[in-house]
Amino acid sequence: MNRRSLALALLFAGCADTTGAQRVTFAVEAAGIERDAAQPLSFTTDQGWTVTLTEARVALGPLYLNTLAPLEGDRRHPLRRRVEDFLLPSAYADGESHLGAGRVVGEVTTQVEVDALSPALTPVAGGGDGVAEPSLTAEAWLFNRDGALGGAAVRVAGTAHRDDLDVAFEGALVIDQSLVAAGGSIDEARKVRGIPARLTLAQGGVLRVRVDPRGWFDGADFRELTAGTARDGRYRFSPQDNVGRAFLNRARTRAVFGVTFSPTR
Amino acid sequence: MGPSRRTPKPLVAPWSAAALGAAAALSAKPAKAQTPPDPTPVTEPATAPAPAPEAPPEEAVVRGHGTPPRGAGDVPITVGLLSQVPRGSAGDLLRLAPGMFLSNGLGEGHADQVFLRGFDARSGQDLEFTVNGVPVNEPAHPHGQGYADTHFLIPELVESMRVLEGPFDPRQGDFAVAGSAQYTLRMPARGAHVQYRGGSFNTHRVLALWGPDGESAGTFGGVELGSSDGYGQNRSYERATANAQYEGHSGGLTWRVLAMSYGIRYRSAGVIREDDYLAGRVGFYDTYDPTQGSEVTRHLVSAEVESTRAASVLRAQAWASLRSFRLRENFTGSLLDVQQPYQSPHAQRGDLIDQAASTVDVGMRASARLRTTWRERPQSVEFGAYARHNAVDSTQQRLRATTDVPYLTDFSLDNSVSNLALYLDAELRPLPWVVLRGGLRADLFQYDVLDRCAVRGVTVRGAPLDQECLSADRAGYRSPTERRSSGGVAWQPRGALFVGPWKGLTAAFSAGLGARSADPVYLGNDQQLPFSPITAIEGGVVFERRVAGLNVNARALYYRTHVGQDLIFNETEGRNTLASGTLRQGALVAARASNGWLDLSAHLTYARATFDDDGALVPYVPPWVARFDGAINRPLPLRFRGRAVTASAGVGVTWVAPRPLPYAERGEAIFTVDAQVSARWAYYELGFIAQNLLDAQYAWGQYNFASDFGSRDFATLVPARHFTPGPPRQLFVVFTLHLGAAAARHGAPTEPPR
Repeated sequence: MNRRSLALALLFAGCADTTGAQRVTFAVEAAGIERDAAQPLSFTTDQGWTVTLTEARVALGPLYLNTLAPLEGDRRHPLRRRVEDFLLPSAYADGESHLGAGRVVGEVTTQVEVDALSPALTPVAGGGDGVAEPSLTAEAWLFNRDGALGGAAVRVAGTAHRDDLDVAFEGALVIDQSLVAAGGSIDEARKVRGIPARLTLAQGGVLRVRVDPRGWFDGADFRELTAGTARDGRYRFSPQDNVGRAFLNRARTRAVFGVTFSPTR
Repeated sequence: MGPSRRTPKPLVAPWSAAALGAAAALSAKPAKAQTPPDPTPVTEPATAPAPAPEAPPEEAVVRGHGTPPRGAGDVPITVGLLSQVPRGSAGDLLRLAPGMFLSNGLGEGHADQVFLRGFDARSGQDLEFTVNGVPVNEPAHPHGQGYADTHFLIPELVESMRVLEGPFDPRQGDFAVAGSAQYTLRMPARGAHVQYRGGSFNTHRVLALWGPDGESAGTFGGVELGSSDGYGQNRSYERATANAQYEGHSGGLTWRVLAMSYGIRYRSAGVIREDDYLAGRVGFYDTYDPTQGSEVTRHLVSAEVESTRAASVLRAQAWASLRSFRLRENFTGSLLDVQQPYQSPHAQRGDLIDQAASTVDVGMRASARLRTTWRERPQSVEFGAYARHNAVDSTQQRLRATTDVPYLTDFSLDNSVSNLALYLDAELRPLPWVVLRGGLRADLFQYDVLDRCAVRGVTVRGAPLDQECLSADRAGYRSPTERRSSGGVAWQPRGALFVGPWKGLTAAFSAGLGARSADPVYLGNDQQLPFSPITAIEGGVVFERRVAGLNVNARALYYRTHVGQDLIFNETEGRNTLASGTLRQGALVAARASNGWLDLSAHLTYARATFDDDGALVPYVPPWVARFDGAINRPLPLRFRGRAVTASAGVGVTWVAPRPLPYAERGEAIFTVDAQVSARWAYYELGFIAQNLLDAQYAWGQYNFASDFGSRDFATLVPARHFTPGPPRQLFVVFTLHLGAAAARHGAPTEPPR
């Protein structure tokens, strides 16, 4: 390019000026946690149960990246918190809570079925859109899905072992009105907010989402299931038992999801 | 060059089929203002002699012709033969002004989006519009401060415009940020003219104009009825317009009474997401929300008197206007109605904005120009006053999708906005080749705003849910209303220096301060400066000379304008909202050449607009705008029953470079061609019009913002490209019946055949 054409190019390009952050598109991949796929996924819950999963499927999506700070809780010592809050109280503007609506800087508006037992990343059709601005959190939505998930948002099966007791189990998370709090919205039941996602999107990069099922049964005591009747050798948990209640809550926590971004594929 | 070339042969007949105004300029009977007969005016040279002491009344009344220039960017435009170029409205005529680009993707009756010198005067707020001296911009308008809708003008009655780019004349008032556009309505083509236009998309237009023989060109009447299904989806309209004026003369006294009435109902297709269009989910000319549209009425009367004597020109004018406005637009689909703690649980109810205003507008202007001679050179000074009061009842609500039921009030205001201005303007000629024009203007802006919904969008302990305009705040009970008043004076010195001409070349330097009144929506109580200050400079050269049988008018200039607090489009409000200061600078070249049968005009403008705070480009402003207009009119070597057949043709070409959009993007370029041909024999004229001849598929408006029109499986919340499509190719046939003495002579031989 000679000097004249360079000058013309700069002129027509508005002297390479910009109006602000760039709009970007990126690829999306999803999978379970990184591990040796040849081995079964086994973990021990806080109740001492060793759980081995044979099925763990999640209907994931849509997913949004937000400028909101993550819900990390207040880790300050209670005394320090009291002193600091007294000296520097938080200010709340009219109409705002400490978590406003934030601003979405990235999104994946398709739903994908994630096999949480498979560490192999699979691409999500359609990818994602966003702007090249820092995000702090991600918000994943769980919608029921037909097919392998059989009309549920999450489906799981496996065995739990503690002491000399083995419990084969299966169950699902179905998002319906039974999960809606009084005066609430079903959308609130679908959202998993505050997933840490400190990243900045870039054109052509790849967003990776990994689903970690190892915390799904914390707090569950599988012994209760054995009071019921097994079908095909498996006990089915439901929201009426402690396993089902634990699963409904744990499967919708931010710890289940890990979100990272790589500027290059 | 022989005498016959220096004195162009007068044209004898009106030729334009679609634009009777051209006929007016070319064929009219010999009012003094219409001589010489060439349709292209040559701008008054900077050092031209002052008007003769006993200026003929007609010469004094023609705005845009009789006003001395205030800079290289002060362009008097006689439409003339260029009315042969197809135009959809009176606003379209502004394309003849250097750097001007207009678009209107939001409906037939929506104010044009005007781009000029780096300004995106979205609905006119950066350009001061007047029609025969009556201001058009609307203060306190819910669709944007300074909203300027010129669709109430019958374009065939626009004889000329003066486009003054920049605030360099003390007579320029509120909203003259990028400049002023002053329309002059007259009808030199006397007689009666009845026209029908029909064509694409079931479009029909009937026009009747009447200019009684024996009255001046300032006396006319015109009515227009139009309807169309519009291109694509949801762009139909029906409208009716009446423009009439009587102009009388008695000695040095001229008086005018102008009356205008206008009503339109139109549908609007709104924006389309580019990803939806590319995925085939919507068509290029489709709509997401068929409830978008508008109803507008305007009724206006103006009375004006002017006294021209040897040493003075006195003018006084008063007007009154009643207007109603309602507009429903949806830029974001269902995105903004997020759950708030003071609302009962709800899903997104839709972002359809419903804006309404009812306005009473009264005003006056008066001036006295005193003329004298010093060192054998004419000098003058003018004192003037301007006053305008607008009482505007404005609201903006959000409507539930598809039901038109309001669920939220954004604002509800009872506005009283007054603007009182005084100015002093002088024209001094210290040397034969130097002219100084300028003076000082002071505008008092005064606001009294009753906010009928002062407490909203907040959480008040104990308050019931879903209350819009609360009668309580955190301190307890309070009235739901609140009054805000403010006022301030903007001092605005303005001036221009002209040096020349030498061989037709004049150098011009201009500088001035301007002001744009504040939007009452953002007005604080007792705000000290309820206006945005404007600083502008300009320097350039103007060439005016007759070259090779053509009247040539060319100019080149550099400009720089700073706005203290700008207004930028906000899709969530559907209007322009406050932004930081901005700076525009750039340059333009323009030329027009014409003779009695040929008229050519071209201009090219570069603009660079940046924000003060971070230097980022102002979005939506096209860096380059180019326009060409050309028209030709000739008698054909063909006679029928002893009458000559004349033919004319016109073409207009627009090119707009890709515009910067939010998020570091550029839009698509625009390139369109419009053309028209017509032939006339005796009383009858037949023409064909092709708008967007090449059937280019282009976007008039391009935006980047977040929206959710439900076209994806799940809500979409990140910015995406949107556009409002420009019209596809449209073909029309035009038939005109000309009646009256002038029509009876059209095409007749000047001498009886031997």
